[in-house]
Amino acid sequence: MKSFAISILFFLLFVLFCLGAAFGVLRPEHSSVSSIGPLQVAAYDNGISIYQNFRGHYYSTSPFNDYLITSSGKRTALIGSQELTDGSFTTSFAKPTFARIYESVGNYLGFVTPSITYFTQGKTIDYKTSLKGNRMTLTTTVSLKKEAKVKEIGSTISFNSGDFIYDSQGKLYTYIPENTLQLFANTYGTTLTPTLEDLNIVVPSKTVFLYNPEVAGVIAIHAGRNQTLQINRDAKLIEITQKPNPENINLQSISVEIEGLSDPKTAKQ
Amino acid sequence: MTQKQLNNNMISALFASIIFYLMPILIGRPIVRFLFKRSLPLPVISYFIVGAGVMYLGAILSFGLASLSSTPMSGTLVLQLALGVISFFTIPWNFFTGFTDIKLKPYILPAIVSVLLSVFVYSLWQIKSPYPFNWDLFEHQTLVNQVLHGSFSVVPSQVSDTFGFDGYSTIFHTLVAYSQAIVPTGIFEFWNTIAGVHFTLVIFSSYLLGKAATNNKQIAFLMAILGAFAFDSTISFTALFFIPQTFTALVWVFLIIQMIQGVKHGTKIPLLLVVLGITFILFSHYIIGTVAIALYLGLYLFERFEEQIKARINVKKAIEALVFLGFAAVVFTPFLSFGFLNNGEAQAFTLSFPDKFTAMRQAYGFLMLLSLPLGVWSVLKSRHKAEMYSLVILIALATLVLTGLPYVMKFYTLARIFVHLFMAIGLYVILKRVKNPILLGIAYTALIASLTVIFVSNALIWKGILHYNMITTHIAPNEVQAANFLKSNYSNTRALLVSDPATQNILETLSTVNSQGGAYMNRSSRLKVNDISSLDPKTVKKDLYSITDKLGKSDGPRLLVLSGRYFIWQNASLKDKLALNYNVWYPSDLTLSDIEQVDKLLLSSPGFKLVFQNPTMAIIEVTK
Repeated sequence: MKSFAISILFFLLFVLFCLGAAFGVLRPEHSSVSSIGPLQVAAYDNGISIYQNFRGHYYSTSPFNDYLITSSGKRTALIGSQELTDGSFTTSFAKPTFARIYESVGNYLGFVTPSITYFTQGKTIDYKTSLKGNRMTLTTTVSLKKEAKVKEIGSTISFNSGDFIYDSQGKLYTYIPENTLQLFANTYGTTLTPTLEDLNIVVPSKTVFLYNPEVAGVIAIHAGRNQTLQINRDAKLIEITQKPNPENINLQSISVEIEGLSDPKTAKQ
Repeated sequence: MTQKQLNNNMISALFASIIFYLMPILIGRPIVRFLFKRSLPLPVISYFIVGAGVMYLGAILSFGLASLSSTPMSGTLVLQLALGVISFFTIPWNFFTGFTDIKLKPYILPAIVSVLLSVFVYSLWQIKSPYPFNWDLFEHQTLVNQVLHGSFSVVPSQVSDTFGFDGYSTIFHTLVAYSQAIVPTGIFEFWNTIAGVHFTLVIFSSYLLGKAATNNKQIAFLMAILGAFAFDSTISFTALFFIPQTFTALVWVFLIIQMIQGVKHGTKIPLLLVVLGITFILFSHYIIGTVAIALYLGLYLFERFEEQIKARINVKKAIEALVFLGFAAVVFTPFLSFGFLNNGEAQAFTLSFPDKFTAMRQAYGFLMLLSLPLGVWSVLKSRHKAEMYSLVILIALATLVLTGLPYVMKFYTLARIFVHLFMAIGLYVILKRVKNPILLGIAYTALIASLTVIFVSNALIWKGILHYNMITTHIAPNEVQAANFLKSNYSNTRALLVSDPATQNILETLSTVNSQGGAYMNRSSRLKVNDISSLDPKTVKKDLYSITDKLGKSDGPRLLVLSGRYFIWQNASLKDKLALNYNVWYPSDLTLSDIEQVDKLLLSSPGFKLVFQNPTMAIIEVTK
């Protein structure tokens, strides 16, 4: 009996040793980074970003841009400027050590993908990704603590000056200098026609390609059958909207399909 | 490549890797048995050293004779003939005399455990990675390519200008060349496979040292486990990279094990074998080898002349004095500056104490901090002779590694196994009190789980910048494709590749088309490549044709390789471009901005011909 008690004691001590050892590991800046084609996906403080290592261009989905439209027609960001100023929200970004370790190891082995959750007084906003090959499904789930009359939920992806946004018909929704357009056409065999009349443009084909001349890759964004895809040139956002789920008004979810392609030639195919 | 071709490549790579170790053993065994009739402890290491030495001498002699011939001979043929002659006189003898000197039974279980651990951890390391991560393989394979082509010297810098500093002889490269001459195989398949075999031997040697030093199987198995999972991923790379310094360390460990076994069984290692062993180590790596030899000889001479030494010197005080000096070195050397050495590379390889602490955490988490002191305390309490000798070696190497001198982290490749010995002893201090077999099994599982977490976290950080198209890699498949194009069209010409150092490093090795220095371009060449960053055609032509390889003829066309890496390198500061340690380590495709520059150059002047292009690079033949 005494021998068994000693065994248990030293066994527990050894297990603590092992846990202590693992506690000391260095953790990468991002616990979870995945790839879609030539691009990487990771969670940051401000949401989920798509980028290519060392290129300096980021395309983000963020609760500061994503929105709900109420029945009165008012558009409100999931986390508004007041909450941002007050800092009255928390995120799951700074997880406890062992949770981050689990996330890192799971990501390395392929069963954990980037995600982040925001907690405000009125809602919980959860961003999850699931990946298959070079395709990612980005799902935003908003859990409202108080009942709200939601008319539409919007998921957004930011873009920057100098980015090409075009559709499969060759309509270009951002301003690009003529010589760059010509180079693009010569290199990738795709002629683009600027369509810049309105600041907010609905894309009927529900698929747009997002491209920058300093990034070696193209992001294809696909809206679903029940979704609308539009370009908000003023706010520099690609917006995908859908009607809310009437069955559970306080739990709304929107999924967007995003693909990483090697170049505009592949996108054309 | 079809799956069948891939499988065949892997099988031939495995053969080539096994031949690297087996051939010297089969050649050396009859010679050692002829010279020394008595049985030796761990005789296999002596066989390997003698056999490898004979093979190297054979290569020196054969290439010397071949140079007298009026017809140039391929290096592959020279090595095949040399090996044929050596084998004819040695290998058959092995089968006439039987193998009673090699006792396999005590080693079967540890060998099986080593293979299982190696397969598990190596698979984790190579997950989503079709190519090896050993960046140094390119420079070593470049030298091997030269040997196989027919250029041979004992001095690496006389074979390839990739080697500006001769840190070793070409013995390592010659042994690799022998393997590749006997069994031609894919370069990546070979280096991936031989790294796996090397890794298995590192784990196996960890077990053997643990058993030899402590006579305790549990400590030995703990050492094997530590040997498998603890990857020293900062500068030393002992377990997973097959390079001269890690190869030297492995041979040295086996020699230490042989010595300890000899002391235990009362068998003296013949002086000739000691001399051959230290010569081999020195030729394998001059710097690592010098320290390894000092420790090996120190141990050998102390063991041989223990009584006489103790009669003349107060050993305890001598060790205390050395510890004090070592401590002083650790404290004061960080204040010295080494930026002047080796084009600034020395400074990059001088780690501060916090950097070393970070490197330790990356490889071990907190396991070293928790278990090592416990192990040292246990040995100081028990004062077993072999363990005390190991402690002296640990103190000597740890002191060296902790000083603020440049490149000292390389010596961790020697220190590692002794660090693991004391960590294993420390873990055993707790585990030996867990008598219940089920609890013991769970404890080992917890240890392996913890070490897996540590290893994966280590790998994640090391590979953090290497994401490329759904894999993690230093090299892009498109770069391999470009190299194959160059090999088919330019390998037997005097063309000279010019690009950023990383692109040169990869393409020269895989295509055998020459470049100036590979990843180790000299300062003058770097300044010229920097000069052409604007891609002005006149400047490009002038600078490209003024870059020459001092070793080989480089009067052929210049192949300017404009890769994604090249454009990223051109955006770096001049200081970075001139530094040997700055490289674009990750593959990068061409962007539209890059393509615009390529098109501008091609359209601007005659004498620029686009010969190859894929999404990752454009190769332009520039004629005078």
